[in-house]
Amino acid sequence: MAGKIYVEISETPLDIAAAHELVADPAHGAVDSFVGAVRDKNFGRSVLGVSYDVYQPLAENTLQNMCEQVRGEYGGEINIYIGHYKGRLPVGGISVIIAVSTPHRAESFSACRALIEELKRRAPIWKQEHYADGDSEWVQGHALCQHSHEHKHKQHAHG
Amino acid sequence: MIAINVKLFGAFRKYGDKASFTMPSGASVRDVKERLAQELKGVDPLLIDDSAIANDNDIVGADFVFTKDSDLAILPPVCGG
Repeated sequence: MAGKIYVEISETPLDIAAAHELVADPAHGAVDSFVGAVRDKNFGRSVLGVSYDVYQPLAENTLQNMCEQVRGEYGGEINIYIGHYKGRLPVGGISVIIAVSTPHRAESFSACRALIEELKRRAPIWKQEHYADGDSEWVQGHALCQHSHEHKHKQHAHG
Repeated sequence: MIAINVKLFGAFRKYGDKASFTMPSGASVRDVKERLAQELKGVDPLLIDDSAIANDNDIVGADFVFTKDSDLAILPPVCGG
């Protein structure tokens, strides 16, 4: 039986325990999760919070496709939850949860890592940092357009 | 002429939630991006260049040609997580 996939873009706080419950399976002995949170500094600037902008229909579609691809690669015996926050979060707020359950730990560790890296590269989500000095900036990221590999542009190792 | 509506995200939000205009049928993705560079006054052309055109389901390929009214989005480089 194909593993279960749960994807959500949420404007209410993400819940780690709920994510684990969704992916839990009596046949699975491993649940691995990645939790992304807002940190209080970026490139030396003091951060008060981050606003997440999301192109919701395409983001849900992209996350679903990512999960299906990973499920295919891991032979189907895998349950995946990805939740991403939309809106403004203070420092410490949870922006993303990825929870993966598999029969054994190696697969859940590697699938979870692969999913967060893919999310950062492909999901149409943007973050605007709000700084202590009152300024705000959209964080630079990964270009989705086809010519992106030909262009040099700033990419912050963020998150 | 066809109607093009383009939702704006991330760094384009300062220009509003969307840009709407008409273009001749047969306009390409490049044409839409060039038109956006005119519509969004003062926008960084490099940001337009580094952005993708998409619809609700997928990124629209660079060679795609629009022949009917279209609801699109322009996606600056992404940074979720």
